[in-house]
Amino acid sequence: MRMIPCEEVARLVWQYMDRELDESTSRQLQEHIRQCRDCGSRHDFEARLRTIIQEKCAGQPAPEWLRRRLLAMLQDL
Amino acid sequence: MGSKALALNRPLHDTQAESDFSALVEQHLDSLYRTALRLTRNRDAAEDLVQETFLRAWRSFHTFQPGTNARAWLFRILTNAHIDSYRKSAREPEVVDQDEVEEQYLYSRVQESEELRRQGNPEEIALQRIMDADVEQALASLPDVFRTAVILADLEEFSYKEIAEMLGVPIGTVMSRLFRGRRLLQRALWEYAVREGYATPQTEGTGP
Repeated sequence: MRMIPCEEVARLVWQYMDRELDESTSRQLQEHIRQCRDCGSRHDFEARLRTIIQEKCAGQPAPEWLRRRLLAMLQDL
Repeated sequence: MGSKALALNRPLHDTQAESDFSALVEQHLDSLYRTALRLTRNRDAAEDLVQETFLRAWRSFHTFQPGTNARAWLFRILTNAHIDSYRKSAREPEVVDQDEVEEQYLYSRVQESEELRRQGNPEEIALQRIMDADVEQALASLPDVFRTAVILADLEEFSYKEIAEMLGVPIGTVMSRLFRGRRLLQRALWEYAVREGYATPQTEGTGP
């Protein structure tokens, strides 16, 4: 199996995390990340950063009055 | 009333359609609202956008194929309504500098930082600082097209293809907007981490 160079991993790591790579490339990246300390650290950092961003930007549910207004609007259309 | 004319496409008071549509509203309102809030950065505008989205969705509900991705369909209507609203107010997406080409901006800065290295594990310290950062504000600071891509991919977890269909652009455009958006967000977070680092009391004088 071809070993992907580290620069290639850096270029593809986001697509890998997004599950947008084809199966074979994705498997090669997974294997590289598992074996290479630098690329493993890069991947872990990006993954943890994304989790933090998701948690910090979780947002809030729609206000109840808005829900009621939309449903009421539907009756009048 | 445009809506009346369109409503004539289906039987008057189609109760089945109404209850199907209400169920859809119930199911997706929270994610549409939080996305509207992130897109508009303003509570009143977000409420207007959600209302407009539901009006448009109801008007074209007869074209919706049951069993297909309702969430992606509603988000397409939402993003289009958002784009129309900022076009109407003649506020075009801001232009950003094109010289930022590096992937994983934040990770690279963290690796290079002597200041973080002196304090121990640079990645840990950087992530700790970002946990205290106003990430929502950093996201809000991104220009519209890049913010939209980051919201849809990273927060709502749509695929590149779904986003491309929603926005009516090629997948390559989605990727370049998304990656640029992530870099800009990371740059904003890095700037915060650096400021925070200087602001916190430290044993050695590492201030500027």
